[in-house]
Amino acid sequence: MPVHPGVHVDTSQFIGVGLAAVFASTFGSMLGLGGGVFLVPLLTLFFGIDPKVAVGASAVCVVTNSVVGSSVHIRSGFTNLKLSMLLQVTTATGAIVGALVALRVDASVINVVLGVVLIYSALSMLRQRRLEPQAPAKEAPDPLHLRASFVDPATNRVIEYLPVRIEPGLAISGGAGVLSGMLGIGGGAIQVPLMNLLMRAPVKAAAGTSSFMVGMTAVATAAVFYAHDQIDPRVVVPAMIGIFLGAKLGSQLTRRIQTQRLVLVFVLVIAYLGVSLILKAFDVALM
Amino acid sequence: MQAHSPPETANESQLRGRVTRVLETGFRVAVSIMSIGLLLALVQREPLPETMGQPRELVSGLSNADPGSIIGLGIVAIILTPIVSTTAIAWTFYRQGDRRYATISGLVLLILLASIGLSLL
Repeated sequence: MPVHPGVHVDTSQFIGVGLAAVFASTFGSMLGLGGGVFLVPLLTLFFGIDPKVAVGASAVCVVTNSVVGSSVHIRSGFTNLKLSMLLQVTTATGAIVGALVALRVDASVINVVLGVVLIYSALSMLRQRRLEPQAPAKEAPDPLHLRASFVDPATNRVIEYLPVRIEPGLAISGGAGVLSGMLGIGGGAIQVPLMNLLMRAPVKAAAGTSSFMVGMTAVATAAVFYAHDQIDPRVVVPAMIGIFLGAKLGSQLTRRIQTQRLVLVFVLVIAYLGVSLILKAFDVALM
Repeated sequence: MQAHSPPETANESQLRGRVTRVLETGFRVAVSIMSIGLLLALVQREPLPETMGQPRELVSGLSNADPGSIIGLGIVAIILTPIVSTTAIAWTFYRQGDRRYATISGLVLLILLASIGLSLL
């Protein structure tokens, strides 16, 4: 008897899932989001894959994307490893809670929550687009030794920063973990605006630190879904191949294309997916 | 004009180097294992399994060189890579005498391991 009766993967589906993952990972990498936020709705809406199987596959893909992308970010100095460890304490705890909740709620609830998160992400991206460069860090107390710096290749300047508002950051990061666990997304769509807007980390440092964190968060989610037989290799294998190719393609394209100009297009795509998912939960199809 | 790199301490450099090596090695190992599994599945004309199988089934399948179990092992390897990198971070902070971040990283590691342990119970 099939374990996942709603999942039928033939050759064309295999290729289709792989291409969807290339799309998700390419655009996700360019925006520093990981890709899970695109992958789950694509698998659910266009391939009719059960949301729980899609979330399980996405969790594994987010780990893959993080492992591939983080080594580059860490080498470039964008990743603040101390900040990532600090925030990860509440994020990983939240992810366990979220994954346990996801396995016990109806699929339509996951669709609605993901839809709302997508619309929130779209609004956050619009806000990020208008962000002014961060003010250089002044001589301020740094009891947690979080001050860091990196060379921005775009301007060839050294950027120094000091993350602030650590306590609210930890609390919101825990909430991001819950959503990550529920939805199989890495949480980059929440973590990047959190670190940038609230904690005053530059966008590149926020994206680099988030890229490393989302992999650890998704481990907790993937473990819970694995234990409940919701990691389906027929979906995960083509998606992982696509994620790897997309991460490479995305990093190449980022050098050639002005990412900010693409943000408007992605905002429209994300908003469309978000609205579609919410309507789908109420059995309404959006063309 | 080339900007000078920000001054990086030997400790930071060691930490970054170690984590990067763990991530790259983990990815290479996972991809190699999955490639072997996929190749075997193609040669034996076996469809991909619907689930990875629980640890006992996975071990049993591996002892029979089952392609699905080998692919499952590759997926497990990629899932474990961030845990190994967190271990490397905790160990490096400990060796560098940074007790605060060794403890915080150790706590993150414990939470990640607890999540796996709880889910397998």
